Amino acid sequence: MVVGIQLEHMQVGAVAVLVAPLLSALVNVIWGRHLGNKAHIPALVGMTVAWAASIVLLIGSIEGHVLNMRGYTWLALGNWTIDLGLQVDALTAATLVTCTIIGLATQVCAIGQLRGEAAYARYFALVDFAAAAAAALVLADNFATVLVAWTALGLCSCLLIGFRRDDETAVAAAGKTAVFELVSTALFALGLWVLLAERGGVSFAALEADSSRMAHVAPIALLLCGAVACRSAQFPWHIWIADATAAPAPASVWIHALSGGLAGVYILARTQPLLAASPLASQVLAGVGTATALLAIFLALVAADLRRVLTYVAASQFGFVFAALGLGAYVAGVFHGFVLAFALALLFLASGAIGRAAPQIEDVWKMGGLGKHIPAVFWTFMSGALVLAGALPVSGFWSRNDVLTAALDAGDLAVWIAGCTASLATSLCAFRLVFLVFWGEPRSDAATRVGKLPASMYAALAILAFVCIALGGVGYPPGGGFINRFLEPVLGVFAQAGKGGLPHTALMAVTTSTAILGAVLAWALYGRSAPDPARDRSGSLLQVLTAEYYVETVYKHLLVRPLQAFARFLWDFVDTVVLDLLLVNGSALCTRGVGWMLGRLHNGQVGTYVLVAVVGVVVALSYLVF
Amino acid sequence: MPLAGALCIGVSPRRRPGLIKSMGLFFAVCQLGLALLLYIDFDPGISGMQFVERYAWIASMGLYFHLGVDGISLFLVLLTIVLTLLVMLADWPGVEAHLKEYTCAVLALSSALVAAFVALDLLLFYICCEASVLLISFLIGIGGRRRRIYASLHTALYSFAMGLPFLVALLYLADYHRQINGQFHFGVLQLYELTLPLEAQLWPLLAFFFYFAARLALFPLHTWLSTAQVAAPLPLTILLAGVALKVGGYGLLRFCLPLFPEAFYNWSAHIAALATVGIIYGALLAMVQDDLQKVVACASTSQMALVVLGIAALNLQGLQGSLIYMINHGVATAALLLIAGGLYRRFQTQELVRFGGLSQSMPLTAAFFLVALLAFVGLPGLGGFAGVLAILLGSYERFAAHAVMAVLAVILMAWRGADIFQHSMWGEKKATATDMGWRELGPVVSLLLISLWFGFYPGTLLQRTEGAVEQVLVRVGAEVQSEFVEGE
Repeated sequence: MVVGIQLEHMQVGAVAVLVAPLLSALVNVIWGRHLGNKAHIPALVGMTVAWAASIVLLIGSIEGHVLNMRGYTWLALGNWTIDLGLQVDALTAATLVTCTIIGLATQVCAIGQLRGEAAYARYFALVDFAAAAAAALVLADNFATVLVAWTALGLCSCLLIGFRRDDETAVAAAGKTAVFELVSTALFALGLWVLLAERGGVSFAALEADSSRMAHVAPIALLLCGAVACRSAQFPWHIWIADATAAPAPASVWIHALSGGLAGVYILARTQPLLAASPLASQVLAGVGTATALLAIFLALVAADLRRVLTYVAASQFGFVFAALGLGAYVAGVFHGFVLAFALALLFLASGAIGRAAPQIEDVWKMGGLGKHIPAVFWTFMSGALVLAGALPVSGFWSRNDVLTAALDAGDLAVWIAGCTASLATSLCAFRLVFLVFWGEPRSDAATRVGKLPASMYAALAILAFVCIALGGVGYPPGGGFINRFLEPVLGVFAQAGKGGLPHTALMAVTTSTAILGAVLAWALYGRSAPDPARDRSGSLLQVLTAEYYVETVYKHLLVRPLQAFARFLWDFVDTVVLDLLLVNGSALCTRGVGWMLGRLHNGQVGTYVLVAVVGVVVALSYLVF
Repeated sequence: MPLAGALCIGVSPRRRPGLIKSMGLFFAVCQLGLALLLYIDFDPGISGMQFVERYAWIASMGLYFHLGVDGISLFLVLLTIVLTLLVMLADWPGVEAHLKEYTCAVLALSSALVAAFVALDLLLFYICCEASVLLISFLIGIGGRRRRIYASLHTALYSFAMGLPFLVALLYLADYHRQINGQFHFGVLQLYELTLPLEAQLWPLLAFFFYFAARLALFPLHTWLSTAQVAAPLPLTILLAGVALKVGGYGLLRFCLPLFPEAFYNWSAHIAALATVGIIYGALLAMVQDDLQKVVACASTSQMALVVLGIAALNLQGLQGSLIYMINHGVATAALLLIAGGLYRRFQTQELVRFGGLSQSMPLTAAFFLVALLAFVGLPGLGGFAGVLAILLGSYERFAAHAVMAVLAVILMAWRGADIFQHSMWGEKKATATDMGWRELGPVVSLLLISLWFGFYPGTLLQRTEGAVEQVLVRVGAEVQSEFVEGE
């Protein structure tokens, strides 16, 4: 099929993707108050335009075009130059389409979710700004623009978490997130700095050729990946996400699925040449990813807040992506990233719908039996859960199967075993939610009073659910699907493909059995309205899990407190006593003497002292000169 | 021009505050118009001095009234003038009684600062510098807030104490010129031609360096800044943190480096170390301050130390980075302090514990406060970032470890910025007030737009500064290289 998209169309499309959300954000910033509860209209228009334009870009790149638009020179310092421009290749187009579909669905959902909020317009302005930043990030042809967009996305995340700004918990969560966003930005900026210093430029072009020549590839790759890891809540930076649920539910999609998820995956994919040139960075990436996949899913298993569970699952699943990229299976990793973005968006929006239909319950142990009241939400949630569980034939199966296959192919048995365990636990966790929320009898009064939902929310959920289930098609057959053919020109072929020795069918059987086993376990543990099996035993393991492995305590006692104490010491002692009192004391005494004298001579106005001082200096000067 | 304005106001009647204010404004606007002409006529292709004015003052003593502008001073002059205008526009609570003296002094201060930036005669520069300090201390004295007498004298004495060795070193240089060429001379361009032997460079370098360090509020000579910032009347704080600090950085670039290149090169490692200590020290102090004004003062200490680090790197990136960072710092600080001033007018305090949940009653203020804070800490996308990046790039080869430490300090400050915003604008509602109107926010918005422009297009600054900075480097490079060859 040839539609006949030309480069000129793609140019217009690229600019439209970038500018449309920005304009709608501006409209809401300027006229938001007057628009009132019509503030979603510019947002919807902007996002629809962006979506349509991204489809043009996708078709263009399927037809084999690669767009490069030259911008201007941002910084030229001696032999170091940063040129800004736009580029659209297969990876860009695919990411943009994913981003705009999710963005559009989230906007539609937010209309129903947030109607009546006092700051309706502010929400849409923020989200549109985030969308523009995401577009800039994906369209950029260099790491400098990516950094700016990455920072803007982080800022939006903080502002969205603190959206209800008179709520102390939300505000505290935003403050905590800000620290991690700052660390992420700083790591990225450091990476950019070293890259620029070593290479003289930061564009993506010819990065592959340059990576082999650079002396410090590993630090650069680690810094850039560290920035993403921090935003994606990889271990040990996982402690900010639990509180981030203070954001409105549609905002969670932006924070976890798009900013922390898709954008991060995209950046990792762009650092691919650096990773390929640095075995150390790849190993670290794989290790961190695997560790997070396991550690975060255990946190999800004991959490009670619905959206908190989802955030942990997000961190864990993006751990798989990290692991895949670390192993060198770039296409598999990116594919899993796309699938996850859709699935998480669906689940977060569905959790928002639950929150809207049955307000004031966030604890899954107080839900139950909701499936009868809101069946559409149940079915869409179910399809999201199936994707997470990795059940055949939905998309999650194909993408995660690719990742696990890659682990075996790369000969990394530890990653494979950990991955399978995490898959099992993910399936358990996904069905735990399904059973606890929708199955059985209501466990509280609130769960019996379930309200109606606006049709727009159902529409958004249905679109996402459809994509979640159907997207698997592009990954079939494993290792040779459309997604491989489409992205391999950009990301390269997985070198170890097929070296694991096990036939595909055997691996697929293992993946499927983890999904089924997880579901069965979930049924056994949670399916029959039993009380929380973990609640009876307040074991030490549970304590470790609820404290998120005590990482926050370690940060607090080893980093924050000593730093603050040291700073206080510097101010109270060094600055006030040593420098000001002792060092300046002599002159202070002198001052007092002079001041007293002048005070005697004149009327105590400092202006007069100063006048005398000027005269004194002039006299002294003329004496010295003549 | 502003000096003429100061004189005009000086003779105008005290009893008509409206007239005085509008005259002040008039002169500030005229000054800005002239400055814009200067900017438009400025030729980025010429790396030397432009618009040179030279009158004999006391020719026999080598004293000339010698002014000129190049890429290094151009934007500093513009910054001074723009901020002066904003200061004139701002309301001045607490100085109504002394409005006349006030307007005079601010205009005179502005002209002293501008003159310091364009002076090509060392003695003239020194006189302008000291005059600016005196005016600052005078302004603190008449319109100050807390502990104003103490702060006023503190500031003046710091400058005098550090200024005397500077003066002696300056006379030494002029005398050296006499020994070589038979005549006293204070002109910078002439003194550039002197090639002091290395051993003779050291002590004048130290005298110069510490004088400028005190002007920059570099650790350990920084304590005057927070005292002055807290005591100074609000509009003055803008000129103080926004412009007056930059005289030190300018002095390092214009005088220290080209006059004593070899000694500076030999000592650059020590200077970089001191700067790094200053960067971290200032950032840590900013963490524990409870007064917005003091936070800005301590953070500025740290940021000016970053400028010194960039200069110590002794390459194009470091020097240009320092220069554009100073400009951006001036813009962002002014925006932040304008909002801080607005808060002070409403609450009669800038102690952070007294604020909370302000965004509910002052949403516009909160939004712009956030952007101003972000610009102040140098977030990518806004003005400060290009400067930080350039400074880091400059120090990469010689002081990579120092630069990494500097980044940590920048993170700390950004953290503090986020913290301040969170606790003052969000959360529990502790105070309410009317939102700032466009009259108050207009200057803030224009500054932030400038910052945004510099963030996205730092070329505006870089193209015009490159030639002049290269010239400085040529001098340093030639000297250092010749020394290197001799060493072989």
